[in-house]
Amino acid sequence: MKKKKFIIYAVVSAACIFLLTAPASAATMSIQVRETQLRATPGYFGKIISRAAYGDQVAVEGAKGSWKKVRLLKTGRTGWLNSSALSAKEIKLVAGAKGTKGAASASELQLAGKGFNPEVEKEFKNRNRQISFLWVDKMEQIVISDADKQKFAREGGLTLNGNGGR
Amino acid sequence: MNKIINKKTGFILYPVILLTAISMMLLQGCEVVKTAAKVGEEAGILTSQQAAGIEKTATAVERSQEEITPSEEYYIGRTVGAVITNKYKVYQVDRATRYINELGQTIAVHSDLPETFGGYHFLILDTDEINAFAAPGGLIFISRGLLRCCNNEDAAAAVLAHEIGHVQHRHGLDAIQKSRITSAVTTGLLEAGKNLTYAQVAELTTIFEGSIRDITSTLINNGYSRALERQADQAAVVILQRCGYNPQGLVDMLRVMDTRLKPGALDFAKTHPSPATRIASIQESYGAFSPVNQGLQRQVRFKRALAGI
Repeated sequence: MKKKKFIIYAVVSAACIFLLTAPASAATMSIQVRETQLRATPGYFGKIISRAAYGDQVAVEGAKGSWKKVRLLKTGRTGWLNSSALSAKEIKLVAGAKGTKGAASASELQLAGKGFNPEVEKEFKNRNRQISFLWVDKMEQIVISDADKQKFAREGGLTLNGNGGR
Repeated sequence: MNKIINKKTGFILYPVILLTAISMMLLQGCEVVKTAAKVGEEAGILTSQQAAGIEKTATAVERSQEEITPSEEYYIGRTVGAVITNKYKVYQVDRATRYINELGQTIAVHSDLPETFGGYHFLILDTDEINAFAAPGGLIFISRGLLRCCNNEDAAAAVLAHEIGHVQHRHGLDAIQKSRITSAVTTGLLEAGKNLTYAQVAELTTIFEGSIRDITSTLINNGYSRALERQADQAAVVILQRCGYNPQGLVDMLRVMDTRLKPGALDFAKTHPSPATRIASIQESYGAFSPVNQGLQRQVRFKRALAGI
């Protein structure tokens, strides 16, 4: 009987240790926004080191406030990203996914998580032809550059620490 | 089983099973855990109360896994934006549009959600209504009528910051009936990594249409709860303070709004708590602010950009 108890205990403990340590060792995160920039310093107005796109994976090497120091796995470059751009869930792009840059190519983006995606928007448009996406497409093109944000802040006497919230 | 595993062993095994359950939840989903809890109970290792506790935890995790991803939020927001810009005319004065985007995109950097899948973008709606809408993901629409309630840049910043607050807290997504999300997620999970069949896209689109209706009817007709509006006002105060704007701008704007809202109008008069209630709530949380005393340059550019509003 004792031997049997010991075996049960050993097997369950081993399973526990394995299951608990496995996710902890994976400090890999995925980019969950269409496009973002790795910065030299933890803040929005630091020098841009590299660009990263939706689904790209990074290894997290450090943190400061809401910023994470990461290594972009596809290029090996290191820089800082705001946590709002990162997901702990792995994002897989299905085969055939094309560019992910800019609103114009958003329809080419294939999301492996499925759910609501470009295919669904396309079908929605087929069913609701009276609803135009013209202004939504236009407004997405309005992007204020970092330099212009800094100028706007400077001229208005604003604080622009760019630490990105929390 | 009860005879084999005595009380003492059960005492050791309970935390072990609990830990295993949590680990399995992380890795394998909830059904396995619920089954494990049941097995544990049947084996006499767990009391029915303990088993119920584990099942409850499993259900909570299941619910959080139903979260909509930022990319899905983006597609929802685009369609909500399309519905809004088909209901309202867009105010097409480039310098005004440019200005509210400079203002909005600069202050969004200081929100708790500085990056969304497609970023923050702002448009002015050509209507006298006192109204504003934040579509999930950061497409934000402000009426001319609401901008007319702003006497300075700090007040305009407050209007945009309140809407950014709704985006940051994902209030739009909260308006979607939970049953829709569950079925959308189920379809999605089953097919992860595979291309969807036409029938599945059609089913998802029906769920999508329902979700859009839930959000737009909340934004346009019913409004959010007082609690969510308070949350958006509080987010606005924080964002304004981080940027160096005076949150009194929000109070000033609400005072002007109070004089202009018409009872029975289908705008903020219907969808938002009264300006007086909002002011009281803000002052309860933060006390009184000093008067807005903005620099000349802020006022000059504010007047120039919104001269014709």
